Amino acid sequence: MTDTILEVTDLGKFFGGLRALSGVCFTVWRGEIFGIIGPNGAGKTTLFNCLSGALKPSTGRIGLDGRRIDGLHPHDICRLGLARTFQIVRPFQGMTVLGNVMVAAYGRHPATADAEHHAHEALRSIGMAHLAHLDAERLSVAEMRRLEIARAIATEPRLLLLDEMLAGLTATEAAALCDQIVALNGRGITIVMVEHSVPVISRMCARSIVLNFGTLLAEGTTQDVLRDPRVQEAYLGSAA
Amino acid sequence: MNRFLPAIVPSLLAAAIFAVCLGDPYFMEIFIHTALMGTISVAWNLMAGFTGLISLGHSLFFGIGAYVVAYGHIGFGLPPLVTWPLAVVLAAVMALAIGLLCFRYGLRGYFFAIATLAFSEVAFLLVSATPWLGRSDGMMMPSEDETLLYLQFLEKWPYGLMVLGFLAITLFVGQHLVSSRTGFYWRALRDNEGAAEALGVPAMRYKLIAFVVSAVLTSVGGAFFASTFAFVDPRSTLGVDLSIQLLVFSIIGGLGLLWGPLLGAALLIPLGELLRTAMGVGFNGVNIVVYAVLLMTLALLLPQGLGGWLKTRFPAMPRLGGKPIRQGDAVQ
Amino acid sequence: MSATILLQALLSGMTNGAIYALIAVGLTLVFGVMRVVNFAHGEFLMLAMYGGYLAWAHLGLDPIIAVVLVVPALLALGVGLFETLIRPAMRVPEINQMAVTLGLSLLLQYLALMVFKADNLLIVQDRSTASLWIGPVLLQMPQAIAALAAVLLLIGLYIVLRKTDFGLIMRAVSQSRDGAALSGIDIGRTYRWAMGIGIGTLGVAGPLMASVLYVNPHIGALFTLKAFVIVIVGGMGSFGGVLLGALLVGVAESVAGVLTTASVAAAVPFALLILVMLLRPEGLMPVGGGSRA
Repeated sequence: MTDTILEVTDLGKFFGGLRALSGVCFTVWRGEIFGIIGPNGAGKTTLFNCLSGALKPSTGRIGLDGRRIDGLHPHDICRLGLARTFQIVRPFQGMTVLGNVMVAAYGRHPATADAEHHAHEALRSIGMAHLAHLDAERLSVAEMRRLEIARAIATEPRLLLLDEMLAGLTATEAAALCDQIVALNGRGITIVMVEHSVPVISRMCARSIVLNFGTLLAEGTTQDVLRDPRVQEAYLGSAA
Repeated sequence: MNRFLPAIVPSLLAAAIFAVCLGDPYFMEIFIHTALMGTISVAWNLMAGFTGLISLGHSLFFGIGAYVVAYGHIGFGLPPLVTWPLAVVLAAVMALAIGLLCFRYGLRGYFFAIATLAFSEVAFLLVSATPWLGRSDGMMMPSEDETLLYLQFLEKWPYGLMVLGFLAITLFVGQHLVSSRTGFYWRALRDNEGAAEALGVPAMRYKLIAFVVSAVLTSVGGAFFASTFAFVDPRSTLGVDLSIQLLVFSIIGGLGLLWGPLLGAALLIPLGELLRTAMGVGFNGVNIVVYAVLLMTLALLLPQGLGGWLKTRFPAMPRLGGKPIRQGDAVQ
Repeated sequence: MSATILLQALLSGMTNGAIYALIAVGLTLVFGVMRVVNFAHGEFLMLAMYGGYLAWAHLGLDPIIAVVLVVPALLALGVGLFETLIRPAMRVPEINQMAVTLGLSLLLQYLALMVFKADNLLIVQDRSTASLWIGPVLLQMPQAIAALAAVLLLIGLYIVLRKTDFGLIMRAVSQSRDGAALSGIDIGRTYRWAMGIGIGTLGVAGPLMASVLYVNPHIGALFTLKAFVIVIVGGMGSFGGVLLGALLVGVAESVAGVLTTASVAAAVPFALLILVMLLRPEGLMPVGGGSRA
């Protein structure tokens, strides 16, 4: 049978009178690549912020491996094995690429030599080992995106949340990054990705949810979800 | 390469300058002043340059050090052996309390600067109004028979030696922190707190560590001040001018560098002395005008400070990691 | 303490508060629009006070008339300040910005010390000793004039910011620089005017205050600190907040002055700031979070 890694129940987040999210429920299975789709302003980033602890949810609960994590500090959630990347990439300035990743690796390896070793491994796994000693601010956008992932995996997560990893990349860069994400998944990291591009989601994710105006529109296999008339309407509506 | 090189080299240079100043009490006095201000600027910069927390209230901790030592001596006859540790504990508790309050609300940048300033101004004004602390006139500490116990020396050089030790310890402690996990966490928090937390950095804890370490070292400076000059008053130990000086030395010397503030103090304090003697006793505003112009020019044209500029000129110098702060990370 | 004394303290606290509001509103305008805190704000007040004093001492001008001369001068200084220091300062980190305006504050203080010496100067006229009776309490005439001018100017500024296109542009820029730029607003010009007006308002306060308080080169620093406290207590960047904060600080200070010593009363604004931090933290942050990522 399938094994649940993330369970979200009745999640809601209100900013004053604004309901950024409400009544969101879904389940992510261990080992899958799970997609979150939705037009702009659907609440995808708010959902990520709630999952990673950057925002405290107003209602509902979030379970990671059966443990309740809503309301915990972001660094505690990270410790428990949930890592995320940010849509807007901004490496730590004035540090090398390696230094950036070491910040993440220190969480599980307090000694500098260990942290350095594991940071190197993380960089190698995403094909960035040759850039280790470059100043992080010199990287291209595509490289910064990969640095985001390298930092996230250096925290040694079981569940990785990727926020619009492909925005602003060329087709070739995007394809290469997708391959690397699949490879990470092959190493046993469960992945939840927010993506604007429907083709990418339908290629990579077996199951998905669709958000619209902060509520869950559909959940299921990506194919079924995309065929749902309400989803079609929301997408065509927002595209028009 | 030894990771303590950035602490060793400046300490040896300071020791050499100390040796040169041994023959002349006037030079020794300038050395003591420079080394003291330089050292607490290094402590201030652990917070400002490395963690991105700009305190304009550090005179509070200097004042705590100075007044605990002075009042302990005058009121209870306590020797520095007792009062110095007491001052350190009090400063740590105070920093912890102020830090908890400020960081709980995510104060950063200007807001943090002004909040810390408010605390030190309250202390300044209250001490200035308190009769048993000598009001704004200050307090003189009496001479004792047991001179060594009370750190009372006839000559200046023992104080120079003490401040040299304080400088070296501060640099070594600073370099140890900066080159280990703590330093990486500090810089990550400085640059992007949200991202750092998501990567497992406990923001509150590490900002508090920065604040407490910096405050404790600053209070030692204040304690040293009281023991050396046997005199304390609110203006020179609690005033906002003192806090601003720390910022001035750090900006001019280089914020991203452990030894940058030391360089700033080593240039500006002797320069100020020189200007003051050159202009005569009548007027000592010229040195401040020069300070101010230098500060504005360097802050705009050389944001990395003289130390940062030296490092780009001579890249072989010990790498310390870290560059000046970028802005825009105030509130997410 | 009798009720009359308390009433008296309340009244003088409120007049002080009105004057403080006028000083703080310029600081808040500049911060709101540009996200720069000008640590030399009080030094421009000091210059405006000297301006008023000199106009009286050398040209025999009444401070109320001198305002007409000092306001344009301060406005020009504000624009000049923006063009020479603040514009480049907006490209460097926040701490360097702080260093620039702190440096300017020191520079102006000590230049003033060289030019005007450390003497305490005061405009003394026939009406200086006159006073108004308001019921059982007394109000000094120069103070009443300054407070009245402050109230009128604040109302004027409020109308400008709320009802005119110019005010709309200022508010748009303060809410989102990028958004405003995208809708075709000239950001540089907006900044220049914000700085000009922010400093220019001190041109009203300065000459009138020169007949209330002694001018000396260091008087500005005191007001910078108070203005900071007011602006933060009132919620950085909000107009109504500044008014509230200023009245609160003015009244608290003058009531404390009756109850305790002058030095303790001077600590009251800062203690108030700490109290607000403890009790009402949302008062500390600009409306909208101040984000500009």
